Amino acid sequence: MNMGTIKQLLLLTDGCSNTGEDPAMMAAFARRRGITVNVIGIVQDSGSDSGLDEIEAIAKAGGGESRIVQAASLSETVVNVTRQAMTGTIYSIINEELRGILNKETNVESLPPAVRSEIAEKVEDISEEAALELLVLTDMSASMKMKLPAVKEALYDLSMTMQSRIGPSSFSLWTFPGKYNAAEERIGWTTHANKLAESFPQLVSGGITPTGPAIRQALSSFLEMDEYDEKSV
Amino acid sequence: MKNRYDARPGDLIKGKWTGHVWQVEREIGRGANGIVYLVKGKVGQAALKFADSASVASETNALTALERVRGTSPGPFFIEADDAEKKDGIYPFYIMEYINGPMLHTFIKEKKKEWAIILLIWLLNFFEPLHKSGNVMGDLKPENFIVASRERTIRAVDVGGITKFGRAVKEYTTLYDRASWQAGTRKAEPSYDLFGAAVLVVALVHKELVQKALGRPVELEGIVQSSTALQLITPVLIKAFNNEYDSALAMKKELLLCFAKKSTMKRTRKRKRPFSKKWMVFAGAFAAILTMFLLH
Repeated sequence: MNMGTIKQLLLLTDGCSNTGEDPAMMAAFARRRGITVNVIGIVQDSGSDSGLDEIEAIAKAGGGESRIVQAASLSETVVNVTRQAMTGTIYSIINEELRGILNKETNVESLPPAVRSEIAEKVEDISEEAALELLVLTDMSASMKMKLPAVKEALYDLSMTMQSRIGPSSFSLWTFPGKYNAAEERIGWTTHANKLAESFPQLVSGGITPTGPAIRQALSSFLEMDEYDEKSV
Repeated sequence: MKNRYDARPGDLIKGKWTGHVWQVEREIGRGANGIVYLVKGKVGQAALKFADSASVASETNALTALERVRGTSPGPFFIEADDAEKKDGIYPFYIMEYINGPMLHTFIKEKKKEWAIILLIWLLNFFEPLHKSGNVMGDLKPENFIVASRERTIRAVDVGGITKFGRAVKEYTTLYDRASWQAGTRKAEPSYDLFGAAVLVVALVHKELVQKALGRPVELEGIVQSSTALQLITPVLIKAFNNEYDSALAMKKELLLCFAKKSTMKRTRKRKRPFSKKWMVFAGAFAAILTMFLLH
């Protein structure tokens, strides 16, 4: 089975968006374009911050995973979320196929356990070998300042796992708010995962949190890449 | 996990596909991706793990892969996978052999620190067949291993990290992860497990020091060099930190060689100082344990 390329946008944030369009709406738009949106909410050690509902809503609309974690456990979460979202994407494609063949109610989970195990093995093979395009969109508003070292470490950790994969992966790093725009590209598409952590900026931008517009702008990066691919073919 | 099946002692769990009924005795483990209960069914005591459908399926595969290794599995024997139906949804689970015994860190608590060396040998025995099957353990935290002391073996109770050679390790714990130590990749290969096993053994003895050193392999070597409990096997540990072993067997051989050197040293010393009886008893005990392994 040719799975094409798995496209993911990973949003790292610590709270509510406060300006521009609804981020969940933008995530739904991404999903329609075949891009899964995952969200990790980074909270203070004290526990519950506001904006947690929004985090879940964005991931739900974007067909991806959401987690709320403390900065200390960010590393493992970033890796797990990326991995689970990849298998999630593959499963949802399989489910669609199943519904096409059998009936509307069918999905992998309604099959007998032995069949599920066989499917799981195939899914693992595919997710290990498929091409991955991962765009990391990081919130750099003032409140993130203390969390940036953890983000940098998590990106390093993610790059270690990605480099050990069999399939090809490309990465891009965006941050928001940008100087002139809602978001700006820090690292353009590259196959060198280690660049994510190496050139991670350490300065916060402060001010507003335009999560919705930031997702919209970052998405343009995927779309441009598609156009580029089409041209090159 | 969003919706878990929270069972209480006495609850009956009925499998949708097999019709088998399992009675919950108590909870025995809880992790990021599931809950494990000790249950009783027609076949006797077993362990039941609830997890999401994808995890159940992939762990089932890992367990059956282990069983192909040889007669006895380095992990629990897989019994069956099934679904529990409840009003609010379907909860996938699987049943496996219940392995009774202390986890690595609890085991060492009641013993002398030098036991860490014995545990390392047992761990290497565990890796040998696993690696032969083309898989690594991946997640090397002490909670994932149980000492089945009667058979003098170590067995895995969590197989979520088991990964085929050549792929990116599925699950890991930072403290025992080669990449987090900046000492290599996260690619599944024997040296990944051997690195982790070496760290695990040092951490069993000097947990806090190892935690503080995370990310700086030089400091890790320092801990080993100044440790009296691990003195005997320092060169082997350091070679493992540098990824110099590509098989568990090679590492085990050198470990045993370290012991051999030590016992000849003891013998020469004995002639010079016949009064150190206490030491002789020690060496004798060690040698006895050793010969048992060698015979094993």
